[in-house]
Amino acid sequence: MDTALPSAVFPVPGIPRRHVWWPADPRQIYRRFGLAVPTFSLSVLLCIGLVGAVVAGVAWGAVVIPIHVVVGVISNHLGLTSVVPTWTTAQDAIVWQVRFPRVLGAALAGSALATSGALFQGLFRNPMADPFVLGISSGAAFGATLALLVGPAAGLAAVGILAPTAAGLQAMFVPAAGAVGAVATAFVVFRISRRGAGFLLTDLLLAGFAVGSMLTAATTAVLVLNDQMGVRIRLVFSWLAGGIAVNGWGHLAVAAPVVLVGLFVAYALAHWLDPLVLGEAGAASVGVPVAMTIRVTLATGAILSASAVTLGGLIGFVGLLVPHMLRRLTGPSNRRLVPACAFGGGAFLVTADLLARFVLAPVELPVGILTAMVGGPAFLAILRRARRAS
Amino acid sequence: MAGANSARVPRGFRLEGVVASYDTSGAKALCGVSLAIEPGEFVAVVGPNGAGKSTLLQVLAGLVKPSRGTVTLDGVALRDHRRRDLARRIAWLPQRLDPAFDITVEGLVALGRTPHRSLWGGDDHADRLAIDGALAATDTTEFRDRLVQELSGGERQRVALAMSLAQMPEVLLLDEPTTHLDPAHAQGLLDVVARKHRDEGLTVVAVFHDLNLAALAAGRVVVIDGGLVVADGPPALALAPSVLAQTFGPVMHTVTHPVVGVAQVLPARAPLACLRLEIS
Repeated sequence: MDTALPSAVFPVPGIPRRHVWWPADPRQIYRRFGLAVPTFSLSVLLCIGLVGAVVAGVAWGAVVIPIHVVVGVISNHLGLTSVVPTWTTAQDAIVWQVRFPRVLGAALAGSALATSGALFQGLFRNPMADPFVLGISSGAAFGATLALLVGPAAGLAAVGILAPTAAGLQAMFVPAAGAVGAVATAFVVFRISRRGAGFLLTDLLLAGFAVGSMLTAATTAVLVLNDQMGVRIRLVFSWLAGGIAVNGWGHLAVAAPVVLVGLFVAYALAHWLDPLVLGEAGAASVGVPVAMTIRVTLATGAILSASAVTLGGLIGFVGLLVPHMLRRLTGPSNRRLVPACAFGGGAFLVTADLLARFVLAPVELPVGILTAMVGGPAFLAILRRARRAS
Repeated sequence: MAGANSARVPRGFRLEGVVASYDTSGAKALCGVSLAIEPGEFVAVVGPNGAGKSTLLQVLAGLVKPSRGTVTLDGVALRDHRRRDLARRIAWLPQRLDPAFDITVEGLVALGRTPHRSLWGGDDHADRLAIDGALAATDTTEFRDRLVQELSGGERQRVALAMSLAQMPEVLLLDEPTTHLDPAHAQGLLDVVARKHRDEGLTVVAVFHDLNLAALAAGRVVVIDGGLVVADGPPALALAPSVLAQTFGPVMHTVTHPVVGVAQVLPARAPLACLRLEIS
């Protein structure tokens, strides 16, 4: 083994390390120092973080709203409390009608992206897998855009994606088309990159790149050829660049239930993804229904990514970054990683969205640009390590 | 009534005319194998390279579906058992375990508990007992927090066995468990398996590359050649010179172990023996 590599950044005596400064499973540290492995759940902490991020995201903006008002408005509307309002109706409208749905949209998109990233990484047995890198987000964007063009009430289409309350049918049709595009792309990339019973890193990345590029080009072509887009083109472009496109509750009505169901399915799947580190035959020998696991994982991951795309367009690298960071805290087990990603991904994207609104205020930067700025270099760093490890 | 029933239903594995291919290319690895394996037996499977030994093991594990013939376990066709139920009863250890992600020894052994867990729950007390027991039985408790990828070949093989033991199977299928091990480690690994076989009645079917280890470990040796069973019985019978000449060519010499008293196989001549005679 390659014990010769120097790595004394985080010296834990007795844990021989290779090229990493953090042990693969944090339980190694607790054991080494004779500490009890903490029984509190990381997910509980991340859930608290998510709630904090949501409150901050609602409070801050062009008009800063005091936190007690934010909490008061939301809990009043949810029926948790019936405090006599000490706030103006304008504040109530900003919090409940505008910012809260948008921030919830960001949270759901972040959860969906991070969780689908974790699912794809477990399935492809590869830390580089991510719905954006694999081209699956592009598949969803293409499906959704195509639905704008050929869908029912095509005239309302451009309005449909950005203000789906305008047409109930459209609100269902565009996300559904996005999901179909994502699922189809996921299966195509899976087929192309599969070698025997495994996957090569290069095959996976190149297949994702090629398929994703084709679909992005096709999406652009659809937009250019569709003259009905007119003045909406800038909004559509902003959506494609990864801007949270939630303008009210109507938009969440479709995506939210889909994401929540997807997260539950992902948690159940995590139990079957763990044994896949043994290879497909090894996983089958410990009782995993491998063929079904592959299909359901591809479909769930793709539908989660598609939901994120309808909420926020092409937000890249969240599915790469969040599972990668959280794996440092949970260890390789998907049963701990997936719930952590569901909460952590939401908190991450809400925070990133908040930053994106502030960096160039009053201009709102699409959050996808921010995540790409951070995620791109991180992707390269992980790639470097993955190559060195193999 | 129950007694009459259990007398009629055959226990253990029954293979009838099994034809199977290792992959989708269609090349037959097994061409009509019939075999009965009783509960509590220790069976060694030997044969030349490419004879179909590994495929036979995967058929028994239910990982390769035979294209013709039937495989039954306790009278029920293997394909009618649920995957999860099979995994609770049968553990299969591949030739070499190469986990795709960094994983600790304890994490790997815990994967053996997969068929016993519910989809939503975590490790319970029984899981932890089984994991600790498996680590202790294979003498790998001291490695539990090390990464599998850092272990030597012998240590890794013991850890892999620990995973299979944590599965608490009735049947253990081992694919060349000792191929990468030196004689001392090979002996140590087989001691663990033999102890489980003797004390807990574990059924063991193991593919061996080393004919002598096969004869020492198992009470019954099945010789496979060209996808067919060519000999089946106690070592002295299955490894008789006539069988060996037919399967491995006329290069083997059968003797009796001076201490243990079972049949052992020696190469019939030194390499380039003629040349050496000329030199001397």
